[in-house]
Amino acid sequence: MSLGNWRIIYTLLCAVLVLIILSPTLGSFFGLPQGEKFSQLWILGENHIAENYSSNVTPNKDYAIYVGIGNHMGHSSYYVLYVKLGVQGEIFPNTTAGTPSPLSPLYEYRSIIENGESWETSMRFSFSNIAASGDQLLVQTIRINDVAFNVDKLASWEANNDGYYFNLFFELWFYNIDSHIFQFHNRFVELRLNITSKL
Amino acid sequence: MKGETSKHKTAIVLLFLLAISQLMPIGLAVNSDEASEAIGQADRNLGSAYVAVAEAERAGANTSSLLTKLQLAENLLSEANIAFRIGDYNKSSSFAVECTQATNGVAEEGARLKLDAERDQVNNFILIAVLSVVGVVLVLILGLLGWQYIKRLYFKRILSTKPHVEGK
Repeated sequence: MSLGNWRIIYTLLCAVLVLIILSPTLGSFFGLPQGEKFSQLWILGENHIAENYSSNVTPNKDYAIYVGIGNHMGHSSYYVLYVKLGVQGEIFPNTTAGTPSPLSPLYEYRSIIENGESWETSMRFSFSNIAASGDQLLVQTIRINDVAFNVDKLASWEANNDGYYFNLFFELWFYNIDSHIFQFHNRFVELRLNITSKL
Repeated sequence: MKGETSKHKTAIVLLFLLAISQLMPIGLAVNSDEASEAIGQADRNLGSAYVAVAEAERAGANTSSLLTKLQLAENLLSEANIAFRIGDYNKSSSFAVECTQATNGVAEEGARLKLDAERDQVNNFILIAVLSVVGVVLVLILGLLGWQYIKRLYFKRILSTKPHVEGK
């Protein structure tokens, strides 16, 4: 091998060594690439697994579920989870348009979660003061964690699904530290509940 | 005369009771506007405290203890909002006030942690930069010396090689 070739190899080796030595400085100057940033939102059945979700609901009976949030945003995040109840014909969250439901929240959970951590809680709910009239069903009260909310929701009979359906859904919002307001995180989970039996 | 004194006493007692009845609601009952104002204040305080803690965290500070305080405050704010929705304004206002109290001093502590973390970050950056420069200078010097040595070895090997003549 000629001296010229040796010089190229030697210069390259020195350049690599210089880059290795400079990497901490360059890293803190330009910032290192981070992974994908996202939040998880889940709902589990009463056995704490992703099955046996309550669907056919009996009035005045307590049902339990678990809801959880996972934070992978690269920093701690301040979340609000709004619990809402809707029926067919009302506006639900739209993840394509990124818009939340305009329905007023009933219950809420707030949690500041550190990056890489998760938060989970159990929630109990029951329906009461229910009246059926013709092909409509009126639910006046939903009790969430022993707090009674007057909702007065009227559901129509869904012939194709054979029931009166109510949607109990959970919207995830997060606090935007630049705008200082809560912002819909474009994530929601829902339980579709059929209140037909033992009225 | 005795009857008039008795009437005066009754009138004074009635006036006293009336005055108390006027004062009592101010001290005990909270209306929706007052509860809403208390919730708004708690919400703003918690938001500001969270921003200060988040900025400290981004500057590299350890904010675990402050996050624990905020977690207590956020639960109180949730309770305040839930109580407000069911029309229990007394409870709502009480939770909101507790939330505001729980966030007291958190924003200031967050700002202090942020400043400390930024100062540490600058010091670390300077230290790393100085060490890097020293390292690069050392590589250049040792590299040049190494190259002189390699060149010497190369020429030594060339000179020690016997000339080889090709042909008949």
